[in-house]
Amino acid sequence: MSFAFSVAGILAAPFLGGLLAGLDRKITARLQGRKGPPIIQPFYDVIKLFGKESTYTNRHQVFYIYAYLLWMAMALLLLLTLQDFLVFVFALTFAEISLALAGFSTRSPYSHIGSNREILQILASEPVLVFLAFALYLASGSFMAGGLFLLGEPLLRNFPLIFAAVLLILTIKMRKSPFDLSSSAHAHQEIVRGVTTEFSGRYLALSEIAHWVELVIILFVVFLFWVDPWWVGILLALAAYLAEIVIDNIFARLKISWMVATAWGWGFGLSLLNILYFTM
Amino acid sequence: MSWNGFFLIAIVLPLVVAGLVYVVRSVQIRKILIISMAVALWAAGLWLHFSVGAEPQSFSFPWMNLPILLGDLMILAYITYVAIERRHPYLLIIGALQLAGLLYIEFALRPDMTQVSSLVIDRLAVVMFLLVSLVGSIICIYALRYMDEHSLHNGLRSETSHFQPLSPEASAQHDQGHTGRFFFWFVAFIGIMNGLIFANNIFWLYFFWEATTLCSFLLIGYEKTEESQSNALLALFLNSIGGLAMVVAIFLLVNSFDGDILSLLAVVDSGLEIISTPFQVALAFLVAAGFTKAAQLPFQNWLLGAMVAPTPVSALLHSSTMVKAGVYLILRLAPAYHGVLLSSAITLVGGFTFFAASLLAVADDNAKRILAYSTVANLGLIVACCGVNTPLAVSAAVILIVFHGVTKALLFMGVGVIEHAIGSRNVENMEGLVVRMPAVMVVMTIGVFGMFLPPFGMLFGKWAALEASIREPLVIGLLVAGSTLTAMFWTKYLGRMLSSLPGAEDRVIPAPISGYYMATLGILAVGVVGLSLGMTGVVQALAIPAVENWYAVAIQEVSGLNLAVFSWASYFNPEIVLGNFVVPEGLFPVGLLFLGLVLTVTIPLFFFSPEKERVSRVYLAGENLEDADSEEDLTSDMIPAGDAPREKGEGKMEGSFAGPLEAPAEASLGGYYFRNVLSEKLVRGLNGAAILLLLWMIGVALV
Repeated sequence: MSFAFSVAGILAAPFLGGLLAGLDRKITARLQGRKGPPIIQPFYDVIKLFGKESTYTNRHQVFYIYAYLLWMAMALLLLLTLQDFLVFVFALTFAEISLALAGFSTRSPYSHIGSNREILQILASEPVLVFLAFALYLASGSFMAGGLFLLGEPLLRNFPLIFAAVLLILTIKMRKSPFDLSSSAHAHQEIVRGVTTEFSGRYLALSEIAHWVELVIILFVVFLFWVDPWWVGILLALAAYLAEIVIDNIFARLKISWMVATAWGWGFGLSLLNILYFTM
Repeated sequence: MSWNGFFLIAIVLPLVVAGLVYVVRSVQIRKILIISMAVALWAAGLWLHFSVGAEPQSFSFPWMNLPILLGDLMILAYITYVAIERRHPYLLIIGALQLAGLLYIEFALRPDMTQVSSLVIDRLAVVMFLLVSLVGSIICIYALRYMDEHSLHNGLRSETSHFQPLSPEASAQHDQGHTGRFFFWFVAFIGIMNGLIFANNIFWLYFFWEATTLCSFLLIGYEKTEESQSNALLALFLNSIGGLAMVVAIFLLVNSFDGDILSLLAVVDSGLEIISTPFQVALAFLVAAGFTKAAQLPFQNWLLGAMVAPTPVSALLHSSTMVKAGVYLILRLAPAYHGVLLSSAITLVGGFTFFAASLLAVADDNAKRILAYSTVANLGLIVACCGVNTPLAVSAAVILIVFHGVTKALLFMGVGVIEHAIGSRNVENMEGLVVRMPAVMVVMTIGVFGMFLPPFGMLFGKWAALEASIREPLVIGLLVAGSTLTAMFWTKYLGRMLSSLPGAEDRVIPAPISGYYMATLGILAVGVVGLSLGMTGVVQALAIPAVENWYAVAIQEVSGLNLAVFSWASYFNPEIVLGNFVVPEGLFPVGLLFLGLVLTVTIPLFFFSPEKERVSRVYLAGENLEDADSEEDLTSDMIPAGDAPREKGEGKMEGSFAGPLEAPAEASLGGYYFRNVLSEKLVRGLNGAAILLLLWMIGVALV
């Protein structure tokens, strides 16, 4: 895909992500019997945040919040230009680790709890993405995401177990219940907003935009399981997203140890099983 | 410069300088000697880099065979003496067995060594020499300052001691031969390591191998405390197991092949013996010897115990010498065990070590032990790469050796500076280091990022290793798990150092740092960034030539300096070039990732002006106590009279809150260490599994 397309994609991603977040709030509200905010409410929120007085607690915190957004954009660029999937995973890790470090940068108990949990979220979810890179190679003979478009059959066909594992970590990556541990959107199960507790003004807005980009990235990963014809992949991603919203609303937050055990037991196990089955 | 001249500088010069710094007690002359040696080694390294071609060059010094043998016997006699003096029966048995084995080989089997070349220089040796001479001598210069402080600071073991800088005269007085002995073994270590790099004759290899064991024993035991003595003995014991394994291997090679295979080159070139059992078992024992030096599980404890030594010793053992000797031997032998089951067994041992050591690092709060576990883990990754044994994998091994050496030296030296400044090596005590020692923090951040994040060299190596591991599906799970755990413990560690109170960066005056430290740390930090930026250069000038004699080119440069691409298709069919593929097998966009890093550092500078923005306080559920010097005065009823245990010092109230009964309480934080899961029991289990794996590896060679 061309360079212009990728740049357009990077610029469009925050808008798409924001709309998806608005959709999430609308559907969640309806599930709870409320009317809900307009779908572009997330944009109003972020614009308002930009207009507020910016305060910071620590210079390094600001640095790492920018790093979170930048490396999220880098991960998206790598994905949209169909680069090496493993390099994409590392760029994504850089972004998420920057978020955790931004939380650590302040000597605040609440953001520390959030950051520690964020690290565990990374720990729980990263292996499955690396396994997905291996699946990509085994299917197409290349770690490049572009190889999938030459494959002729959907990745889902040979790697259904890895798809199941990706669905599992989708919840972790989106920080949705039951795995919304590092930072929850639901006021009823969070004492104080976790990792972003000490962010304010435009820095909170930047982290919000980065989170939208992250959302698009994760759904793009789901899309990769069925790239030809492309609309099936998009439907797959949308279906996964809607299912995620429903799950978010019917589950309460679970313990962090349960998350790590599930992700490393089922996510890791299913992925490895699928890889071994395919190679043996 | 002639080759003999080169060997004089590389091997003999450090030994001579070592002798001189021992004899000459003047600190000034010692500094001049060591810095001159460093310059000579760097120059020799450059000369060597540009003089060595693709073909290995052999050099024979048959007149040295007898002195080398005598040296062997002396070292073994010393080990036996230590075993008797320290009442260590197992060490005695192992030492005696080695002595008996060596005597039996020399006088009963009488191998004819006149035709065996003593030393060989090839491109792999060049890479190792550059690493040892560059990084090793930088550590030497760092040690000059460190030991000045250290000799006055022996109370460091107690966590409460406070370091106070001393005048040069005072430190010169203090330095009574004590550090002379230290520098003797320290500098000699570099010469011995250089000998080990070039050694080809297996008896020479064995001599240098045992000599590094001896050096590390004496350096670890330098402190003369009970702990350092017992840890030094443990290091000697575990490494002697490796020495015994090497004697067994030498015996098998001498006994089974009529003296045809008496050198490393002969081992590697002898493809015909691949099916013969004695050859395979000998290989397995040589690799097992490598495992002991490279601190692979279950031998990791000596390296963790080595942490009691002064930090320069840790830096030297971990980055360029000792442990690298282990992986160097395994890597050198890789073509010999290519294509047999032994290779897969080696992958499993390495992969398991990578996983287990990363897991144990998560549970540790001692900064030096975390670094040590990280070393063990990365060596495991290198070993796993050797076992995978594809062109890409062995190239990745070379890249990992280079970048790990530079990055880990930087980290150890950084921790050493921190340790001397705060009097502790516990991660929890390093909280808020970012404001107390900002310059060191920059260095540490480069080091930590350099270990696991793009676009740095270690990540590139790990990327190549992971992509290569697809050929060994059994090990994939271990590598994936280890790689994720790596990210976890580094982030935790960095997070503790970053944690500081709002506004502290304007209040706290950073501690001053010695010029020796800034220079050496600066060189290595620039080295980590520069080598990562010049990744294509490192790959093309060092890594690929190092393995090209036995393996096809696995990593290529495309689109200018920007991209490094690999293809093992070229291994099966060298004529196919990457351009003919629509999609390459993998691609690491060095330029793009570096652009990301540059933007990460520069963009905040453009958009963020601290003076225009307000610093906000941390959220403490609205119960924050006011700072003593803040605009709002402290109201007397907030702190009950007579119940204010805290000094109203600088920033003391910041981060405190009104606790139960309105008593002030400081919000204190700590890291997660997961000790309930990662327990002693788990360590025993992992060690047990590692022993089984090792036995299985040797068993695989037998059948």
